[in-house]
Amino acid sequence: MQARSDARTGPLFSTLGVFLAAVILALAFTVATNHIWEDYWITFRSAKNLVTGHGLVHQHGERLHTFTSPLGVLLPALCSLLTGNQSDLAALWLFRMIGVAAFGGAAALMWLSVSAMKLHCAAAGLLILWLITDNKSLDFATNGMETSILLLFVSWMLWALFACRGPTQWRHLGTAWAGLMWTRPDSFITIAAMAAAVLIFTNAREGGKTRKEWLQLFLKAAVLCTILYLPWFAWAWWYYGTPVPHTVTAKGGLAGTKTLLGGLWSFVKQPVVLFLESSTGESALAPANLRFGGWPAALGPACRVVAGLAYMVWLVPGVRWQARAASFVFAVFLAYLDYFPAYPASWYLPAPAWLGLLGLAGLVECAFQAGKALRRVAATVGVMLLIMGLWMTFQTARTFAAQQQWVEEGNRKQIGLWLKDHAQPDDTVFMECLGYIGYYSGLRTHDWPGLSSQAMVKAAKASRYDWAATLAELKPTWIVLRPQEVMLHLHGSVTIPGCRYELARIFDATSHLERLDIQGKGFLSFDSCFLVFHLQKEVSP
Amino acid sequence: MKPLPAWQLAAAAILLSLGLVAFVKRPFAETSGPSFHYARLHAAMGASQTRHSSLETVRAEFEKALSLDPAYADAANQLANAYLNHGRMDDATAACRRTLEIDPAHPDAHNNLGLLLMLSGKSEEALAEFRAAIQSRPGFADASSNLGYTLMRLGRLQDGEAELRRAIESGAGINARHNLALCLMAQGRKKEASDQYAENLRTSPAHLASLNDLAWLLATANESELRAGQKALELARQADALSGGKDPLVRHTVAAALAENGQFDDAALTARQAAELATAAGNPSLASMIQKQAETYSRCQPWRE
Repeated sequence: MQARSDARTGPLFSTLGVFLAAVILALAFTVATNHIWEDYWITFRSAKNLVTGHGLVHQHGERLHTFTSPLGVLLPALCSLLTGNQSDLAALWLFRMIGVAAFGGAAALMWLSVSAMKLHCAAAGLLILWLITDNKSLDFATNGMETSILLLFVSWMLWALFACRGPTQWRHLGTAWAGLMWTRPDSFITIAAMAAAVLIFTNAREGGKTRKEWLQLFLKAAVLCTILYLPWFAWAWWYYGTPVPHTVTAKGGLAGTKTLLGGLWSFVKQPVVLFLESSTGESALAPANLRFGGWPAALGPACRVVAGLAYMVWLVPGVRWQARAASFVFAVFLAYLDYFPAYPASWYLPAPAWLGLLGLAGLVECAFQAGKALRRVAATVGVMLLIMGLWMTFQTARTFAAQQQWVEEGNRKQIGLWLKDHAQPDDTVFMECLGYIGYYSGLRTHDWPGLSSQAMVKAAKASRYDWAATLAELKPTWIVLRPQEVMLHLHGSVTIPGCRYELARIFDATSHLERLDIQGKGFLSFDSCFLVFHLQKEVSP
Repeated sequence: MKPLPAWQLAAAAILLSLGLVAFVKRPFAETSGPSFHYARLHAAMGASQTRHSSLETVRAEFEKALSLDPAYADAANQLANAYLNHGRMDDATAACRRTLEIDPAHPDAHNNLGLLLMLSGKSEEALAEFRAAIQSRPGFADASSNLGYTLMRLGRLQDGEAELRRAIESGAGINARHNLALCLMAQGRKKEASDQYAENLRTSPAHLASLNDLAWLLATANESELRAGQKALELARQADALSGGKDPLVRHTVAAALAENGQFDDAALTARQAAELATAAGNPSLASMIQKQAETYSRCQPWRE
C-alpha cells in the first residue's frame, strides 16, 4: 500500500511527547553525571583557537586538521563566541543544549518515520523507549561529542527515505546526507550502505518505490549533498593542504594497511565474530568501554545476542523492508568499525545501534503478527531488553559520575594545570590522553599516536610504533604515562636512549576509587593513576 | 497506528529522570570483596616505579595490590622481582615463597626462587625449583636455560647441554646459547662452541660475552685450525670498545689476540694494564693469572690452552 502524503506531518502531539521525553532524559543524564568526554577538550582547543584569532588549529602556527567532525568543532566554536570566549563551562553547556535538542529531534524524527511506516504500535513504542534510554546515546548527547547531531541526521535520512513523500523528498535526503558528512566525513559509508540497502530491499507495495525511482532520487540527493558539503571539503583542502583529517592519518598508521577485500571479509565473518568475540556488535549496545571490565560477566554475551538478532534481520524475508534495510546498514557498520579503524570509538556506536534496533523492531513486529505464542515471546524479550537497557543506563551514569569527579576533574585536569604551572612556555608534553591534559596545560603536545602532532606521526612511523624509539626521537620535555603504559610499551621503566627522565610527580586517584562498589571499575582504573616524568638533560647514547 | 500518549510519556521520562539523578547522586558504598582491577593497577604502579622510586614506595604498591586481591600471586612475584633489582636477596626469597603459598604452581616464582637458591650456593634445591617451573609451564625457555646452566655448574655437562639445547629450541635468548657454548667448551668441543658464539654474534653483534669468549678461543686455541689471529683481534677490540676499555677480562683477551698476531710488546703492555684493572677491581686471582700471561708475551710466546 502506498503511504499517503499526510505521513509527513505525522502524529504531531505524540512526536512532541517523544521529543520532550528524550530531552528530559538527556538533561537528567548530564545533570546526574556532569560527564565531559576526554575528546571534547581536543576539539575545543581548536575551536577556541579559531574564535580567538589563531586559526582552526590545535597548536598555534601548525596548520593541522586535528579533529574529525567539522560540526563537532565549529559548533563549540560558535558556543564559545556566543559566550564571549569568557567561560569554557558556559560554552560547553550551550553545546550540550544543542546536543540535547538534536537528541530530542533524532528521537522525534524516528517516531515520525515509524508512524509513517505504520509499524506495529507495540514495536514502535518499544523501539522509541529502547532508543531514548540507550546509555551511550544519552551520554554522548551531552558529554561534548557530536554523536547526537549524527543521530539527528541519521534519523532525518531515515525519515526522508521511509516517511517523506512528494517533491521535497530528495531535498530532505540530500540535506540529511550533507549533514552526515559535515558531522563525520566517513559518513559516505553510511550513505552508500543505506542507498544500497534501499535498492536491495525496496518494496513498492509497502511504501517503497521502484529501483529506477530510487536511483533518480539518490542522484538528485547526491548532487545536493555534494553542493552542501563541497565548501567544507574545498576549504579544508586549501587550509590544511589535504581534505583528509590528520586524525585519520594518525590512527590509520596504528590500524595498518586495510583493503576493500579485507572489509568484505569482515562483513562475511560478522555473524561468527558477533557471537564468539568481544566485537563492535557487543559494544554497540553495551555500556561504553565494556571491554575494560568490571561489569557482570553475562552482560557482554547478552549484548552479543541482541546485536546478533539485530544483524540477522536483513536475512529474514517476512520482515518489513525498511527494517531489513536498517539491519543491513547496521551489519555494514559493524564490519566497517570492526575492520577499518584502529579502535571502534564509543561515540560512533549509537548511530549503528539505532539502526540495529530499528531492524530489531521490525522483527518484533513480525512476531507480533505471527500468533499469540510468538507475540508473548516478542513482548517478553522486548521488555527484558528495555529493562536491561535501563539497568545499563543507570549503572553507566553512576560510573561516569565517579569518572568525572575523580578521574577527569580530580586527576587529568589537575595534571594539565600542574604542567601549566611548572612547565616553560616552549616545553612539549607526550601523552596518550590528549584532551584534558592538552587543553589545561596549553603546551605543545606530542600525543600518541599523533592526533595533534605531525612530528609524532612521522617519528612513530619511522620507529614502527615503538614508544621508546619515538620518545628518543622527539625528546619531549614532559612525559605523562599510565603505569600500565610503562609496563606494556616501555618494558617497565622510562629509559630513553640519549635522554634522562626523572619521575616528577604521581597523580593518583586510586584511593578514592578502589573500594567503590560500582560497575565498570575496569574503565575507572584505567585512568586512575598517571606518572609525570621530566626530561633532566640530554646524555650521550 | 495509535499515537503515543504524549504527556504520559513525558511524565514517565520525568519520573525516570528523577530516579536516575537520585540513583547517581546517592553516596557510594564501599565493597568488602576483592577489587581485581585496582589490584592490577597497583601492581602496575609498583612495577613501573621499580627503577624510578624508592623500594619502600614500590613495596607499598605491591602490598596494596595484595590487600585488594589476596589471591593475586603475580603481585607477590613482581615484589620479588623488585627486591631482586635492589639486591635484597633474602626479601626476594621470602616474596617468592609468599607467591608460592598463594599459587604453588606459579612458574615465574619457581624460576626466581631457583635463581636465588643457585646464587646462594644451593644448586640441588635450585634444580628442583627450575624443574617445577618447567612442569608448570612446559616450554618455559628461561627456566630451561637456568636449569641447564645449573647442571653445567654442577659438572653434569651432558645433562646441562641437553637442557640448554631445549631452552634454545623453546626460544631462550642469547644467554642460553652463550651458556651452551661454555658447556661445550667445558667438554672440549671447541669447534662447536665457536659455532654457537658465532651464531650469537650473528643475531646480536654487540653481545659482549660472546665477542670476548670467541675472540679468546680464536686467539688461544691449541688447535691451529681453530685459531684466527686477525679475526680474534677484531672481535676483542670490538668488545674492548663496548666495555670502555675498563674490563680486565676483555683487556686480557685483547692482549692474547695481539700476541697471536705477533705484537708481543703491545700484548705484554696490555696484559699488565689488564692485571692492574683486575687488582683495582678487587680480583687478585685474576690479576695474578693475567700477570703470568704478560710474562709469556714478554718471552714472545702466545698463550695456548
